[in-house]
Amino acid sequence: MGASRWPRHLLLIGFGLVMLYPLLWMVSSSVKPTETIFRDPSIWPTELDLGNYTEGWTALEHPFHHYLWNSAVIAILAVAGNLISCSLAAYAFARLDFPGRKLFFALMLATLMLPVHVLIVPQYVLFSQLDWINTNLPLVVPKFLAHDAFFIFLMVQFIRGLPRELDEAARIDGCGHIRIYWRIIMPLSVPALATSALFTFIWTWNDFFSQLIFLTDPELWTMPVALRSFMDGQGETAWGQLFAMSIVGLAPIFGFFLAGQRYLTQGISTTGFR
Amino acid sequence: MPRTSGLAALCLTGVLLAVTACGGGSSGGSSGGDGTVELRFGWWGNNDRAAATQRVIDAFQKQNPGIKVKGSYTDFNSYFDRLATEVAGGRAPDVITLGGAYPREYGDRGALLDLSRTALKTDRIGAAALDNGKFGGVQYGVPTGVNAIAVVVNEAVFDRAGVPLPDEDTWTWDDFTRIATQLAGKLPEGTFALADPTRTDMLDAYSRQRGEALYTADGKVGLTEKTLVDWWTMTLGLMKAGATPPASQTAELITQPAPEQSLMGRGQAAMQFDWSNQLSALSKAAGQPLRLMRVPGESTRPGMWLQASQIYSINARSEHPQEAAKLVDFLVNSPEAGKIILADRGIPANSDVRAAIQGVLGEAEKTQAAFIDALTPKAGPPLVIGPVGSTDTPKILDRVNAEVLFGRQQPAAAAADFVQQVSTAIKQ
Repeated sequence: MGASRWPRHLLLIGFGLVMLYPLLWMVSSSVKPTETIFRDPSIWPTELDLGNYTEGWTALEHPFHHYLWNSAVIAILAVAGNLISCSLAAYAFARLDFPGRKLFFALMLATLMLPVHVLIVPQYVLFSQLDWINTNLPLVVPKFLAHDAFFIFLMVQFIRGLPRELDEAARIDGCGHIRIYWRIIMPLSVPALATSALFTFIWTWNDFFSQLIFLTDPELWTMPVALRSFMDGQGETAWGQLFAMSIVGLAPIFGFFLAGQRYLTQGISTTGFR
Repeated sequence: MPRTSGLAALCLTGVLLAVTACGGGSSGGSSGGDGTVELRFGWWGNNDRAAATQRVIDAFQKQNPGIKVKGSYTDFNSYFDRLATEVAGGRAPDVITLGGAYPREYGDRGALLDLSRTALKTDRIGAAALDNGKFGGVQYGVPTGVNAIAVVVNEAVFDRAGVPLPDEDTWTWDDFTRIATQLAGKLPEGTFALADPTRTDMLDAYSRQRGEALYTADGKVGLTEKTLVDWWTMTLGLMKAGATPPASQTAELITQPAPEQSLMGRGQAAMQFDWSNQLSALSKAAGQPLRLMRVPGESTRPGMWLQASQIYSINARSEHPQEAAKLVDFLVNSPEAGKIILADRGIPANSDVRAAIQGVLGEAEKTQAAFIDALTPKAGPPLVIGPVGSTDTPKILDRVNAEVLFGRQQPAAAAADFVQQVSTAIKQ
């Protein structure tokens, strides 16, 4: 048995390394001087040069932690917003019986099919009329208005899997909807909430396009937008610093993923809930 | 009301209030209460250019105390994504930087101001480059600087192969093929005479030497299939002789547009067709000084042209067009601004500014300036900029060129295919 396992493991490790290669290459390039990155594409750096990290940190208009902080503020508010608003909306869809429920549910799912490029111009016009351009508001306020249909759907599916008997027992004990939501459903939905929180964090942290469009002042730039400023499509790009700061930007995601991996798989496999 | 739900509601309002508070104060009005005018200036580039541009803005504000300028920048691709959204949303910057076929796209759609309605002076700016900002008789933009397509030459690689440098005044395409083949026989494995030279700019130069052009003035495809067949017959010959990399490597190289990733930037090519303003980045990447030469075949009928490297234009919906024109005037006509920008946005198109910065340029920029100066009297007529839809042409060419290099299509069939695909793209 032990012997038959080895070939399979070796194969999987091999595949894993192939998948990881781009990331490993980025790590190795981040410690090479910029000029040698493409001249010498080998994955083993011949010299270890941490200058890209120290110089990259201060190369832009603001120190790099300024952009990390901006990203963190938006990501954390987005997580809070999604947890509150999407769970409320999901509770309504899963447990309340109101006219047009099926229609609204279908409409909500339909918004999932719209690509961001279709939405961005009307959104821009709307936020521009509210005079919200160049503030964090367009990136945060929608999260408090249950704007992410994916998470509503995820939580609806999860809540539907919870036994209704629990609600009914609570109702008999005199609970209203708000208390059922808060006392019964929420504590039981921790895996779904954790999944939503993780995904919201990762997606907001990595989001580039909407942050690029809505934040024009370098003071407000987030990490992904700031990273672009190492690049110049027509001229010189500070590749080494770009890679180094990309790794700094990856670290929080990596940490979040490691910490929440258990909840992620648990939350996604909601159908197996018993 | 149950206690806990009250608490939850309180949390919710608290967070919402916090969010609203974050947003306050950072919105930018277009004119302040004290009569100062605020302009937004959009451009693309990296952080080095950002620092230099901020110094120019500071100098401008010092001269014009009533005007405040806010820069809005990101890298090239993101810049145009954002600009498209801002123009559609009616909130584009007052001064907009454009390049290539973009001025025509935006100008034809009514997004740019007719500069003759402002007090902007253009009398010291080279006529050929100024023409790049003019469409349908309207001057929509002024050039920041001048560029030209050229052959970047790595003399060290020529020396190593023991091949003498060509004479740029007289060399023909036959000479070019002969030199490239000669180099191929003497260079070590992995080093080439040049990367595959097929690119739209080269088709422009090559066809103009035959009295054609990629596009005609009335917005149609202007080059004949015969020209394309001759071109591909030449490039296929170069590939077979080992002067250019095999098709698979070329396919890889076109996905890596950065100068540092090109064969020239890695010191693995003797020549490369590229824009003159890439010289600094290429030299730095290759780790040695490089030269610029005029392309082959210029002696009988010149096909090269002077191209505006970037163009400043003014938003048609700007609330302060005169102040915006003042900023553009300062950027292109003031030696003070020129001494800060140097050759970063091309060799300055204004002859006074060019003279003023001559002494402070670096080695690579001096080479560029000398090249542009020498080319100016010898260049062909101004280039016809592609019509709306022509921004697709480079992608079409890459696709068809791959078919040819991989031997899946004969040059004749590929030429017909290319002309037909480009015609469809620009008709839309």
